[in-house]
Amino acid sequence: MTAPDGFAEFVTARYAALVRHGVLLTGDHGLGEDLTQDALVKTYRAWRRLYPDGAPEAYTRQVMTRAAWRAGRRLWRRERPTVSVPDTAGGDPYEGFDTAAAVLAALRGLPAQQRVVLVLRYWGGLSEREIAAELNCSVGTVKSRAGRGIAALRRPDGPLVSLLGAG
Amino acid sequence: MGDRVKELLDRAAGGVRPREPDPVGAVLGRVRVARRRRIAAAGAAAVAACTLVAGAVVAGTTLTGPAPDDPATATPAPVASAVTGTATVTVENGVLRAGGLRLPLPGWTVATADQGICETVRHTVLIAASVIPGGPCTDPASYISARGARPTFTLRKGDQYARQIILTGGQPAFILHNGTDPLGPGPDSEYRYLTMWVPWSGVDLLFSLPRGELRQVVAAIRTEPVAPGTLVVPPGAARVVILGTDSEVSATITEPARIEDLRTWLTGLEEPVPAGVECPGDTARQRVVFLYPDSTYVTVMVGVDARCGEATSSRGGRVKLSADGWNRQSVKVTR
Repeated sequence: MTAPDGFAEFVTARYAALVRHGVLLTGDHGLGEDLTQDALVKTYRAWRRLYPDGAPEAYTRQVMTRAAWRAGRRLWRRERPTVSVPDTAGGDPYEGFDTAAAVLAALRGLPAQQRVVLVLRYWGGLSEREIAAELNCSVGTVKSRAGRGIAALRRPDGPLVSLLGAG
Repeated sequence: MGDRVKELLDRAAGGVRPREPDPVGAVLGRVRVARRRRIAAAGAAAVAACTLVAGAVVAGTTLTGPAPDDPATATPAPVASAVTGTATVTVENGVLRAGGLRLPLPGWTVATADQGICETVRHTVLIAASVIPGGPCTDPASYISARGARPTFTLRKGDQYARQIILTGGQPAFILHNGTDPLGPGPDSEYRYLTMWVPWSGVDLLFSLPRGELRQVVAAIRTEPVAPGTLVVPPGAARVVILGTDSEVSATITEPARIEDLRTWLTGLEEPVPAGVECPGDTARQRVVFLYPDSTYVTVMVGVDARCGEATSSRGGRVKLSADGWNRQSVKVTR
């Protein structure tokens, strides 16, 4: 199978940035890269609409964001996703612990919808109205998810208390 | 507060490096798999429709038959030789699903990571729980812990012996034990722990069950077959650790030229093992762990028993190998 014109170049150029988006949306490197590749499969299918006159990166990011947002509703459908993907059962002797790891651990600890809203609001720089349009939900929902997410990150027993201060 | 949160998110994102060395190939591979599944699903739907029509003719209005997703009767499409994904573990309708793995567990309870393992009832599936074999519970408990495992997962070093089994359907699984194989001979009522990593299904399983029931549960696992392929070991490892069959570190290689020599030799082994073929006498394996600068790993399990000369990579590929050839190569790169 060969890629259509421009697709391989797009993936090669933007893959790293998309993976960063995916890792923040999931709080996990493996799941984030998985989310990225799944979204790129949809981009591949839509490529004729997206290239050369469309916005394939914006489309891919939107697919990733909506997939991460929907993950937060899975329990209502009785699915049970893994909440984290530890590398080993007894801890990884080679892996260090730093601020980046603490932030990802804190993101992993949030419900998926709070995590998605925080990433879009503070990392993506979107307004509450823009986020609501992106996720097809109300502005009130965005506000409540953001507020709860920040409060959770500032919990006195949370992993970011020393970096953010207690709430 | 907003600026501080943005700064922390920037730091977290800044340290992220993709682990997939060939993203275009990985995405096209997923496109192919999705296409095959759609075709298989369409075929299954057509067959089901024909079955319904034929059954209706024969049995009038009384139609019975296997469930469409019955793990014992489904015929899945083969998965690619290369390992790419991390499974999302689910338990639905009494079947544990993770990637290409299915395990029927009728009547079992499902618990999540935030529930204490010691408080669970018998026959519980724990999703994404952090469980350490021999953990804090005073009484033995019957449970299975299932978690997604990255392709870059590695087996624990230390006092764990490793070997490979072939699950029904054809996928290799790496299992760990403490020197007494839980699937080996012994009293059926004796509780045993078994750690099982199934890279092609992206899942890590921990079983705590009486030995007799453990054998039955492992035998009930069904997997999608894996296409035969040569070993996948990406270049660029910073260090290689070789663990003997006794699980002790027998050598560490840090010189780039020697690491590349070993990687080239392993990936150059040209005779893939046909899908689903067992390796007789596969009791314990050496492990060759490639450690990459981004803290990812590739583990190559090397069988050097006289009856089982083969190697399997955790990133994909399973090939035949001669024990003499491996011994010569390992001496060459470690002397």
